[in-house]
Amino acid sequence: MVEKMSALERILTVLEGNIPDRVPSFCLGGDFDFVEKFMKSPYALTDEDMKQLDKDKISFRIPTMHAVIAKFCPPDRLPAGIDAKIDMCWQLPNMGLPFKLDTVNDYVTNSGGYYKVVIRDEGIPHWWYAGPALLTKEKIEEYWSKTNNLRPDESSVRSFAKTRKTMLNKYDIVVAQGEPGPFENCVFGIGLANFARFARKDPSYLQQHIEFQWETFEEPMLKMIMRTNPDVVMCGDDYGYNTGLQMNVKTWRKFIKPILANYVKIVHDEGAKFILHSCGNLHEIFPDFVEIGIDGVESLKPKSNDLKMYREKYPEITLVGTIDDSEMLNLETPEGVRTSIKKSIDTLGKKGGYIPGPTNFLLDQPPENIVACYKAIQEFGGY
Amino acid sequence: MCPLYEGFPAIVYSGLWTLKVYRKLEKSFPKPIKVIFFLTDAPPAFSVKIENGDFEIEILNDLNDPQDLDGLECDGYIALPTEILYGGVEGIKKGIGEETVKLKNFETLAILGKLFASV
Repeated sequence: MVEKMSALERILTVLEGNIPDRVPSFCLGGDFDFVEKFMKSPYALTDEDMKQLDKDKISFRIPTMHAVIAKFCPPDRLPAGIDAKIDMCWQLPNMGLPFKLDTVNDYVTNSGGYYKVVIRDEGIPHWWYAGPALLTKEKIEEYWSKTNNLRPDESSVRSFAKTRKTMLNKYDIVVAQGEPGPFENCVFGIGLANFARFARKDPSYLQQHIEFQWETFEEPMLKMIMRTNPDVVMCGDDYGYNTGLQMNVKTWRKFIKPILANYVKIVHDEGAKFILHSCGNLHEIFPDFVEIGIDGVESLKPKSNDLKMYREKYPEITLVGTIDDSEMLNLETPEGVRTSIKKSIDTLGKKGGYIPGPTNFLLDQPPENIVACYKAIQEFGGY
Repeated sequence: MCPLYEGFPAIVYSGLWTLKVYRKLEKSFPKPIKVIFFLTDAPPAFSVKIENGDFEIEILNDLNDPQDLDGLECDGYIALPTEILYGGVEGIKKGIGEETVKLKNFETLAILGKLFASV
């Protein structure tokens, strides 16, 4: 029997392809709706919890909600903890302040897209990507001239690294920090229609834009993150729809794969592990993930992916996520969640290579189901 | 579905909402306070009233000129263009020096800082 491990030992053991003391768990974060439900539930953070978390400068920000994730700790870490341990979560450093483009006559983010904040009629905030701003070559080229606005902020990266260390040392939770990947940064700015059009009719222009983003802020940000010595880096780049890739696989291989391989190399060169978050069906590019050395792939909604096949065919890659957040965790009873987790671990986790957790940010799932999910991972995750 | 707020009022609302949902609003603002925020290039202006761990936002559709802020009853206000707001603390300080920011009560800046830090 393996001795009890810390969360970091557990996560690294799995990502190295070995068997840890038990199956580790993961949570991407949670949106405003989930935090509201959680804080109205019997599991809500108590005044005593808040006092300790404030003292430790743990972030309450949404959607990373590290304070809520810490609440799942056992009582030896947080006295009123739920004891449904989450071993790893996610965080993206600030990607810079919005800036104005004259050709767009509006403020855009570093990818060249719009984000919108809306307060819904029931009073709950909602922040989300609202569309691409760089819809013409004129706009794209003005964006290229704004390198000063696009440079990442190292002070934000250093500040987030402090948070990461506190989460690890005080709460035994690994924070996988990272940044958006090349596809998301590209299509958030120019839009999927332009991406497809340029890929077909003007590939060198698309290449130029992707390389501009890599050189101007993706590579510098990643190198800043690596200077803070993370153990695990997780970058988000949604390639899939429910039924397949958002683009032709040849297009992904030509334009995206080389840059993604750069991400992996920079992270590996500093001795850290690389996890990719990507929603949707990824079966066409799983062999490429193996080829460029990705250690883990996260999200992996079971209805969109043949997880059993991935487990058998690609043992090199740790499967992260896989617990259906939109139907199972939303609609099942806590007992049904428990049964489903047991089944997932039996199918995917018996030989290691598995870090289960909800497949995306927690949205409107009942908090009791989320607690049942993490308690079941502890209950059935022993090796 | 019609949103309650969009734009800058929604950003400020998000900060207040986050503090409230975590029961941190009263601790952050122990005394009742009313402040007005006005992005001069992106109206409307709006007032924020914080009291007893709760908050209210009122959209001030009739306020079009920063000079009119002086006639309104409040503990503080800030009127500034978006580009100065997105310039961060340094940008706002510079804006005060250059008089592109109209400010009553420096505490208004601290309130804005607390709300931005929580979102």
